[in-house]
Amino acid sequence: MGDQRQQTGARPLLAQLLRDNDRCSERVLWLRIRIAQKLQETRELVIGAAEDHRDHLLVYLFAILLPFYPIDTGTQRDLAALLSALAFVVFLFWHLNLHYMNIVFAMRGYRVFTVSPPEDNNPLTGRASQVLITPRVALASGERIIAYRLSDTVYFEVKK
Amino acid sequence: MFDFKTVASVEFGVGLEEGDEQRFVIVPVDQSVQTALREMAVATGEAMSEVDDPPRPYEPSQKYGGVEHLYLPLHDGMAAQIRYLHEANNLPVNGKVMSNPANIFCYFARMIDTNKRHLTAIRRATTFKGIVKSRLVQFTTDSLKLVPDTVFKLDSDFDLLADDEGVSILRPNGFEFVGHLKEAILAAVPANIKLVQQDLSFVEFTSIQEYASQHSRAARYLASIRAQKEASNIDKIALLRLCENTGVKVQDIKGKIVVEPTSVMDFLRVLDRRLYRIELVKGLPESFRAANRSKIEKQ
Repeated sequence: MGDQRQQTGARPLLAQLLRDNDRCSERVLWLRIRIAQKLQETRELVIGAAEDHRDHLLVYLFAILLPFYPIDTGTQRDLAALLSALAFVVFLFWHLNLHYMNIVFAMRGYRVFTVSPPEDNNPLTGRASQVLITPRVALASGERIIAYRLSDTVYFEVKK
Repeated sequence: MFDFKTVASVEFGVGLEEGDEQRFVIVPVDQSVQTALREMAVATGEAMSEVDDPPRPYEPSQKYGGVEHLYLPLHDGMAAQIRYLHEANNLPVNGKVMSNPANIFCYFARMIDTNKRHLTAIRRATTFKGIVKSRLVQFTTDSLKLVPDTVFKLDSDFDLLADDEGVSILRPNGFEFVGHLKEAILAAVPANIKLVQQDLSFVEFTSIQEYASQHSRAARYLASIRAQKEASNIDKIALLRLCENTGVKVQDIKGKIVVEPTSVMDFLRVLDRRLYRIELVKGLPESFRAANRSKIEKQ
């Protein structure tokens, strides 16, 4: 009886926690955008090559939907396994710099591009790729875009 | 011309010296710092106009005062380091570098106006010491905040402004330091010799090149002679006469002027119009060496 109560109570609680966690991360991201806008944290990005990473959304969906699979969380061991899997997903998002991935962006018509700097024989030009969240459907080489800085590698261009 | 009234973006960055290497990084700043940087750039332009308008061309051989108004085209070899910074794309961002201000040798602002014109303003970091507070709001932003205490001292103006056309210099010392002019001029000696030699085919340049490669003042004279095209159309007889009148030891061997090693500096001064003779008192000619001179254009 006790086990049954634990099983029926733990699953909705966990799902609720995950949903809250997802909403919380979205709120933090939108808050960061609003702060960047308020502080006018803009910079110019020059496009060398741009790759559209819509496929990253699949990773996002997989990670977000994973906890909703009917995994038995009735025992402490199963619960620990699920939490470990979730921690692993969070770690991957953080480590692979995928924290910008958000279904809300896609629903609002934003695309996520990985932008490489142009090859220009200038020894000071940056070499690292940046992530640009933009309403544009394509980015041309040589294009200059003023975008808000969300982190050292993630930038956001506002829809006009 | 850059429009300070329609600035669309302001970036702040620092130049770091790490051993023999230098690198430039962007440091995120909030709107109050951006406004301060814009005001500094405006003040720099005003200070330049007060000194001299229009600006005089920059000459590396000239001994300048602390504040001048000089100009150098952006694609001149002497402006190479400034051009690299002005034209660099997607400079790396790193706010953490402010934790060690001792490595910072300069700071700069890069601005863009709504017409997509770019301006880079640079200042040598002489008063850039002290405690730097960053990451005031760590979780949501790591931008530097302008706080009432003097924790991060910005100067009142910049040493130079660079746009897509050229470099306007307010403080030649700052420009020479940030632009690595000494190294650039010494490295340019062979190329400058080659260009000057085309105009002075009757001069043997072997000893001059050897000397100028090791002495930065001689290399500066050479760069100035090349930049101002001072060697073109020089008359050999007039050159020999001026050398004789000013005590520059040269020999005419098989139709070529060979400069004695002890007279290389003075020979370069002759070409750079810094050694001259006047005779205001009849029968008493006087020779002079000019550390600073400017050409009087015909009215």
